Amino acid sequence: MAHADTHALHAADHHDDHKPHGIGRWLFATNHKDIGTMYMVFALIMFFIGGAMAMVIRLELFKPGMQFVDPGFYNSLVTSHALVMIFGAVMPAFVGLANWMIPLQIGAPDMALPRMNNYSFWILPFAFTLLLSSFFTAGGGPAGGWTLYPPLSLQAGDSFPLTIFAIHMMGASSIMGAINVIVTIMNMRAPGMTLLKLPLFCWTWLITAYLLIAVMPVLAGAVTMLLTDHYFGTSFFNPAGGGDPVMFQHIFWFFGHPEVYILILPAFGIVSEIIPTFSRKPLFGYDAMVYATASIAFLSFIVWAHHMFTVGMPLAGQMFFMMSTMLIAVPTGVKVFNWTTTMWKGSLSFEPPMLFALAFLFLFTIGGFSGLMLAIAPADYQYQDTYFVVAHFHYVLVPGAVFAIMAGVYYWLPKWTGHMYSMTLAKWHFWVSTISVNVLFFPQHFLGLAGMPRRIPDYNVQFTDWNMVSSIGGFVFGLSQLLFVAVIIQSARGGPKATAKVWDAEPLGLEWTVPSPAPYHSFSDAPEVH
Amino acid sequence: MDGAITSPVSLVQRRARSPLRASTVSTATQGSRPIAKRRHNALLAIVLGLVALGFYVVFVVAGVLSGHAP
Repeated sequence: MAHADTHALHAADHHDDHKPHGIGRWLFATNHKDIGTMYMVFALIMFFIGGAMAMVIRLELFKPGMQFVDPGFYNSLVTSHALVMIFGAVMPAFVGLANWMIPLQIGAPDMALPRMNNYSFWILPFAFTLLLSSFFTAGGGPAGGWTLYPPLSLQAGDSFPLTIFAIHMMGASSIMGAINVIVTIMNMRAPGMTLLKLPLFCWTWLITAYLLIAVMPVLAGAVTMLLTDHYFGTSFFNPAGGGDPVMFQHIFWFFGHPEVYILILPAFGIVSEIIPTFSRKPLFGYDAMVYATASIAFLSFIVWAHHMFTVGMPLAGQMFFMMSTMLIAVPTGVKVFNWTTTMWKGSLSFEPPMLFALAFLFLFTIGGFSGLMLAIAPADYQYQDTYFVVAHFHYVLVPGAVFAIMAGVYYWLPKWTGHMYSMTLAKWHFWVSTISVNVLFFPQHFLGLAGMPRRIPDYNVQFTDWNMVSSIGGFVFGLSQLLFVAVIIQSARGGPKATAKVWDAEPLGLEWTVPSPAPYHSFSDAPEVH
Repeated sequence: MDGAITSPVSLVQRRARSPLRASTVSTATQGSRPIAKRRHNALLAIVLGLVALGFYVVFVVAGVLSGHAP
């Protein structure tokens, strides 16, 4: 939204490209680009660890009966897959993109609090070492599901305290990252860049950061109470001592539903950057997009009990949570309408970032529609805890959040490395991923509607065919991600030089005014924004 | 860093080459922005941190007040 007065554009940038060397550059990093790179690499590693768990899950579900793992280990895989993908892959990937791009997009030389930025990254490897090492404790890894519902989660073995401490550390990291994003955007914008000139990616991240600060402490409070119930004789969630396990579910989902939007709002921002670029048109309805994002964030706080319809609640409660959940479709519909209208009569081209953004648009919407089905309280009694729910949230998170991350990487990768990548390889990655992700998750709708429960290692023989199809899709999708790694490595090692603008379009953001690769220190002098 | 600088580079920009100086630079070179902005950054960060801590305390204290603590 901002035009930069780029006279004497970064004349001194070539002097600002001196980097520290060796391991110290990464251990003591305070440069937003270095920390962004570390976040992205960490997220990619976690994506493959969580993906390997998913492959074992799909292998076990390929046919009925127990084949490869015992049920306890299967439960640990399901639980850890979720925790690793949510807190280790998707969230750090978005924080990595925020670190790289927010200072470049607002014309700031760095994040506002660089040392805290370092701490918030380096907490993560320790948190996930703690979580994954719990697989080697007596009783195996955490097996009660990522929702950690008591009393099941309290029956875990020695993995329990490790999981709780790991979640605390992830939360601390997220809160520090969120504080950094808010302070950077509020205090470090280039002169002239008013809030309604912020790029959409910054806007969606600003709102996400407020969500994080509001709800991560709630999760921390819930798991602290679980810990004291387990070790210190309290009865917060233990009916034998006067507690209430349903209370945990309310607290958890008061965190859990905004968390869903924490995982998707930055994706909206990325798509809002890419579609105008490859449509050669400004974003349609910029102000409406901002207000829609804020509305979604507000509504995310008043819908939590739609995860709990079958727990039992008064009819008025069911009506309230059903209606408020459906209300979210309105601002989300505004967004889908605006992205579509941005493309209307645009001069479209279909480079890999645009392909992934378009796939996001269609496939996230499928996830949104199945979400509306789940929001209908009487219908939810049929869908609850079936594979329909698994299909729904995987459509939202994989071709939704993960595809948006891939779109963002393909969009900004030449700006990071200074090299273009192989369009052919990236398009292969897109088509194989898009086809296989649908083969993987679409049949799960049928399985769920036919009554197959989620979180089970064995199933009735009638569910065999679609499980086989789903597993084949899963293996292809998993293997196709190696193409993504190949493209990134190829671009990092060399290739055709990227220009400052990178794309043959008219991008509007400040990040396209700095050379490619972006100099180690950029915007030492603040640009003028009109 | 070797004196062969061909275009004007301010002292602040030289300091920028050390990543540990990034926070100093980020506030000192923000065009018309005063150096006191750094204090604003810290203040806002502390306020946000206290808000987060407050949410945590509120939820745990509410649990304790519900009468289920020992």
